Amino acid sequence: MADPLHQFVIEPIVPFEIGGMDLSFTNSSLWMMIGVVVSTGFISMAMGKKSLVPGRMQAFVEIFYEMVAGMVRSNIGPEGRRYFPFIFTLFVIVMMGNLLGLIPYSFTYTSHIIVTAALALMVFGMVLLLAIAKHGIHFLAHFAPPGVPWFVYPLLVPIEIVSYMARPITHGLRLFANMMAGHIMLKVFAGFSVAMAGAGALGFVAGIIPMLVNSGLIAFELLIALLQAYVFAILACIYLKDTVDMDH
Amino acid sequence: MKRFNTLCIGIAAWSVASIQTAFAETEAHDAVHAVEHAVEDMAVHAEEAVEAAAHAVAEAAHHGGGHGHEGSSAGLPQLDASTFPSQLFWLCVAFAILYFIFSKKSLPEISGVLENRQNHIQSDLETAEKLKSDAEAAHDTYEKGLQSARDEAAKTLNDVQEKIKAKAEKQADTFRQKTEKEILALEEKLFAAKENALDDMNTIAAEIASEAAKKIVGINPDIEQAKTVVKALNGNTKAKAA
Repeated sequence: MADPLHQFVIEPIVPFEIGGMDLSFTNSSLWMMIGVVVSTGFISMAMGKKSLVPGRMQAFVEIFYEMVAGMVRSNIGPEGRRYFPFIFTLFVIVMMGNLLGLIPYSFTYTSHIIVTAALALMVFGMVLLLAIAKHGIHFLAHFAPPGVPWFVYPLLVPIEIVSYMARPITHGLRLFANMMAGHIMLKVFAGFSVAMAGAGALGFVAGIIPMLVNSGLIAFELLIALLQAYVFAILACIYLKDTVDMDH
Repeated sequence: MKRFNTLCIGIAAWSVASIQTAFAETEAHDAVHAVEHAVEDMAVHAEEAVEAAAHAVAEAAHHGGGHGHEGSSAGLPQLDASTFPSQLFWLCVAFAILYFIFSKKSLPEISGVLENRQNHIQSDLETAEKLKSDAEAAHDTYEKGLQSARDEAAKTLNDVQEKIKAKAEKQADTFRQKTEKEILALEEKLFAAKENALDDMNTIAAEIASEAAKKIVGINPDIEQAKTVVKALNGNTKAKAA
């Protein structure tokens, strides 16, 4: 348990294979499903009464909805309505992963690069396909922004291409690195406390210090969890905006 | 307690060991030494801890950090490719369920509630606006009625005042004419009475004069003659007074 990386180990709960592929229901899958149940359950419970004057939970859900809707509207524009459910789902699934991961003994599925990379690549693929479907070959103009002297293009176009290709990498890596680093840090400080407590009376008292640090870190991680979900969703919005209206 | 202590030290050693495997060598070594020193200062079982740590480091170096699945080179469970299909599969399932529920149920529900509220507020505002304009119209009518009533009252008052004035003037006129006439008649009467009185006075004066003349001088003057004399004298005094 004390290995700070042990918390990231995937443990199969219901092992099974389909077509030679290991699709076991694991602790990661379990927490994904818990995330699905908690988020949909919370929303349906909060919106159960559909009251005109909302209660606390309904107000919370409505404010959250308005926030995501506002984010989509201000970043993509009125055309963003079509992508709103997608962005909302993205936001919720990342936020659930980050938040549920802070519960002791839980599993943080967003701390696995394959998950964050898959989400980032989904956004990237969607943006790319939309761009091609919408603008055809003209979408390549994205790599040659107007308004620069012709001799800059040989330098600018490769840079634009590289930065475009780097999007899904940074997009996915940012979330993964944030979650992994945070959880390792929490575990290491917790380990300090336990080690000190085991080292006698003086150590037991001194062990409170890393515990206090850890309390602060938990608060910080809570902020990071929400912030990274927000950042993930807003970046998806910004990437989508590029395709929705290419002004050149 | 002893076993718990050893367990805890073991746990600490594990964390130290994994820091070493996870991070770059020199930095990790520094961290290990720092932790070792801290433990040494505060613990009675310092040597045990160091030993355990050293043992764990050695063990971790052998194991490579792999716990659940095999085949990860850096010891990071995240890089264990054998778990990828399962994670991707379940991520897709979770995403699909969430997307389906959100786009078909939750989001339309929320937007419906928000729209409903917006409409309600809008209609309430419109009703309020209508009521306000109604009230204003009523107020206007009231003001207008009040104004016209005031005008009418003023007009009536004016009329009545004028009527009264005219009547009063007329009555005053008739009264004045009547009194003037009466005064005139009285003056005439008075003048006549005065004339009469004067005449009488002359007669009396003439009679007195003739009587006096009879007694003093012994003549019996004609009364008519005396009257003429008195009149003449009177005329003289009158002329003098004038």
